[in-house]
Amino acid sequence: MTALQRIMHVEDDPSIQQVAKIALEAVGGFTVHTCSSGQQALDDYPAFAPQLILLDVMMPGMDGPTTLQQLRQQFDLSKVPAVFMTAKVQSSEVESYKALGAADVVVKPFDPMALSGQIRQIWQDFHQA
Amino acid sequence: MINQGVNRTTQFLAWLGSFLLILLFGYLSWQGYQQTPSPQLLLRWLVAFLASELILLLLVREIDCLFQRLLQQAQQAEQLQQQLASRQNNNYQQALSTLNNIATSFDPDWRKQLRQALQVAADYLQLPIAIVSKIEQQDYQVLVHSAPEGLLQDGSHFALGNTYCSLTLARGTVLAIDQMSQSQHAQHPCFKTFALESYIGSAIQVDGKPFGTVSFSSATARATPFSQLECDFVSLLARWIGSSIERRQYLEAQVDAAQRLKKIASQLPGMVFQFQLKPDGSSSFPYCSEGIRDIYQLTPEQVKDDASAVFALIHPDDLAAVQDSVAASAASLSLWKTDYRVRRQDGEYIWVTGRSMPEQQPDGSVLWHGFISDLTERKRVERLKDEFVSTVSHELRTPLTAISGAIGLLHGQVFGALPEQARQMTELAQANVKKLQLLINDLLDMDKLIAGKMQFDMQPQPLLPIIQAALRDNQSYAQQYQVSYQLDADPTDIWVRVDNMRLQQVLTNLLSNAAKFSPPQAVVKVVLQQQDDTALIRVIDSGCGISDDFKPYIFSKFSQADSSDSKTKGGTGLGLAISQQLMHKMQGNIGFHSEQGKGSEFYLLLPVERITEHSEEIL
Repeated sequence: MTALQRIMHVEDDPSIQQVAKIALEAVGGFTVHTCSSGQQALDDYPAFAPQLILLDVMMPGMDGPTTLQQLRQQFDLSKVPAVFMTAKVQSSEVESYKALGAADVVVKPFDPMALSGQIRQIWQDFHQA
Repeated sequence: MINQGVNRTTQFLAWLGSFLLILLFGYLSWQGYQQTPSPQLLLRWLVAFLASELILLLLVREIDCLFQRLLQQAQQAEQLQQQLASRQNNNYQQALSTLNNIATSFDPDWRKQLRQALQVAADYLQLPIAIVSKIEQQDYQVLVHSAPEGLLQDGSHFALGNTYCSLTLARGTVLAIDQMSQSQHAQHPCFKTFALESYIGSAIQVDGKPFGTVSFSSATARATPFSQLECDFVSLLARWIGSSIERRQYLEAQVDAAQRLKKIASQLPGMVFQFQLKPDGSSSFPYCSEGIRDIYQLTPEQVKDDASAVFALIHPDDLAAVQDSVAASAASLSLWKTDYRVRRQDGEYIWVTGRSMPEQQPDGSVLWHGFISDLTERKRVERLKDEFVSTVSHELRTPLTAISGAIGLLHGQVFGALPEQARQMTELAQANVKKLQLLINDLLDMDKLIAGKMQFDMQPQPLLPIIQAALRDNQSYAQQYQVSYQLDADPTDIWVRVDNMRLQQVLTNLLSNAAKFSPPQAVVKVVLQQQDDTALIRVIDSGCGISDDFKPYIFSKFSQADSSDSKTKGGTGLGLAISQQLMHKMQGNIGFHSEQGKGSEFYLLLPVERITEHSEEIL
């Protein structure tokens, strides 16, 4: 299993983009590429070639699940886990997101100090599965 | 008859006298002839006899005449008396018929009716000036009058002292004066001012209190004195006037009340009504305000005798519920209160809310008095409010996520160590962000519950592990308040059908409340029991308890007992409202007992699932 380094974060809110970037880069030591929309994610994917995609569910225009669907259609994501970020969810909802192809779900608001650990855990689980 | 008797008697006296005279003179002439027999003597006696006979006949005739005259006089006297009696009888009849005419006359204009009565009575009494007065203190007001034109006006005022009525009032009974100038009241100012010679009047009582007088007067003196009949007449008339004024005031009060109701009802934003349900099942709206046009677009007349037009407009989905609620209200004579939809002419539906109180009627029907108002606007505002809360909560979440993240990074000393005071500040900010998050989560939960969008993952499962998990999760929270939990479960194998997470949410709410409101070192007891088919979870604290004032609102949204205080205990005021909703959605219930100063007990009730049904799952 290669170490996780490149994470693509798709999120429309600039403040959350910044917080997540710092949380993942400064705390977790990852390299984060931030996309402000689903379309930008599609455009930037080949150049950045992320190892993991962190997707906000609710976004104007193309939402998280649609973005994931489009990415899957255009690129091979078999080795790239996608993680949804969404508000407090019920267990049944987590299952529905997983059915859409998400490796896991991170609940908003997230703890910035714990986020990197959470992502790393998901990365490990994905490769062990 | 008497005449013939007298005739016969005088004839008899004449014959008897003649016979006695013949005997007397026969005897005397016989005796004289015996002493001195001379035909001359006999002739003398014969002349004497004839003279006596003549005198006798004259006497008898005179007596007869006398008798005849006496008889005639007696007859005349009798006739006179009869005439007098019949005249008096006529008077009585006239008085009675006058009073009767007055009493039976009716005119919607009460002044006109009184005036007619005065005219009729004035004619009867033959006194041209008739007045009904109203007397207040020293003010004499002509209420209604009947008099030759130009003499008086209704509504004029006089000083009471300047009227004879002051005497009538003082007397209390009927006052009748035939000729004022010859009476003891000749010096009365009224006589001096108006020179009224004859007067008859009586006080009028209304509702048992002096009201005024009715009086009749004339500038000429009476030819004959006032009779007792006339006094009685005036007295009766006064009573009739008094009672007709009473009746009029009563009617006016009724009309007044009806108009008042109509005016007030017309300004109400809804309809006020009487609804009657008869034993045969038919119904009607005996009274209905004009507001029915706004609610049902019907007129009061359309539903006065038959309410079916109203029921025809109720939304088909609501009709059964409305009918059931009416039947239930009639059966238990309890308040009817229902919200339902009404179809408008344009096919749209409006929401209305109705409430009314039933009363059993002697005829077996039930009569409601109540109110129906348009709820559409309120429903719209409620929906707007819910949407607003929902939108705001959702919109708040994104910035809050950013704030929480940013503070978390600062507090996590990602950018280097913070000075002690800065660290305290970030800690404080973090704690408050957490509170804000809890509030928003509660708001969103409530929003979902109201909208019916909250999903429940109902699974049969043992109850005890859920409680244990909730206790574990809340342990650290309770430690903040130096409070500990103590679980007492018996039996331990109760199964229920719930959404694990939702029940934990409810338990967390109760456990955190109990800890929050308990004194330091206190123990919060958590008891699990089974009562018949119901599982009972009790959370018992020894805190400050709940005041009686607050008890009715404990499960209301945004209610906190110390809302006016500085809210030292924190919390959103939504927890118990959400808990109640959650318990209801899981076919359970929530309740409490509390005594101020001694503590509170909150309990949850859930239907028990039979273990046998799940024995396979256990295996």
